Amino acid sequence: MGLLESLRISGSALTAQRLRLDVIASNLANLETTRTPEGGPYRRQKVVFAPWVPPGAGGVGVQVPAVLSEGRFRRVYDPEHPDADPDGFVTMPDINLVTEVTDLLSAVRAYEANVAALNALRQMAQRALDLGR
Amino acid sequence: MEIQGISATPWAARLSGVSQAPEASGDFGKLFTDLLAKLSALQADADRLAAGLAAGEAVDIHEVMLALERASLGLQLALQVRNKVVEAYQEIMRMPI
Repeated sequence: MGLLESLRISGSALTAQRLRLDVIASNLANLETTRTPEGGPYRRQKVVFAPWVPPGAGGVGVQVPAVLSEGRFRRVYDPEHPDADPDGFVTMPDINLVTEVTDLLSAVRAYEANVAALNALRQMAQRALDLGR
Repeated sequence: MEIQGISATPWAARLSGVSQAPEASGDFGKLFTDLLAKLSALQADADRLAAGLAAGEAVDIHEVMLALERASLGLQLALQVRNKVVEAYQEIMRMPI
């Protein structure tokens, strides 16, 4: 059933984009998190995509082999902050709100595009079944 | 041009080909059983995922929809194959002998 296996190509992309959305949501939630169990401020997470060949399908899907943590921080002057250093600076995660929201939109659009591809594949399968009628 | 006699036609050889028909139908029966088993597996998969989603397990909605879609397409394919088989059977039964 090659056609049914091909559903996995777009399916893997949907899974990948959803994971990307999770990561963006984490970044947005921890925009100003200065304490983590590992010590230091929260580190911005970033997904990495890699090709993945589903068994039996003709194309190449996608998978997320790793979610990387960035090592950059930004320093904000805020002497009132409990985690401020003696000079009055606080080390914050290097997360840009605009970049994250742009990524968010990109993830949503990519998800929609893959749903469109899935629907096209399903319609082709149904047209193929109409051959016998 | 030399005209061959009727007796020269290898009827026996052709008839021996006909006698293999029951084996062929057995193969089709196996094929159809395999198809039904696959269909059953697809349905069970979809059921399991849908139940998992309803129970609040960490299942992606699109995974459930994809499984349902696979099950639905598989069912439609099996239906079409069955229709064709029944059609062929009826066609043969209508054949005047």
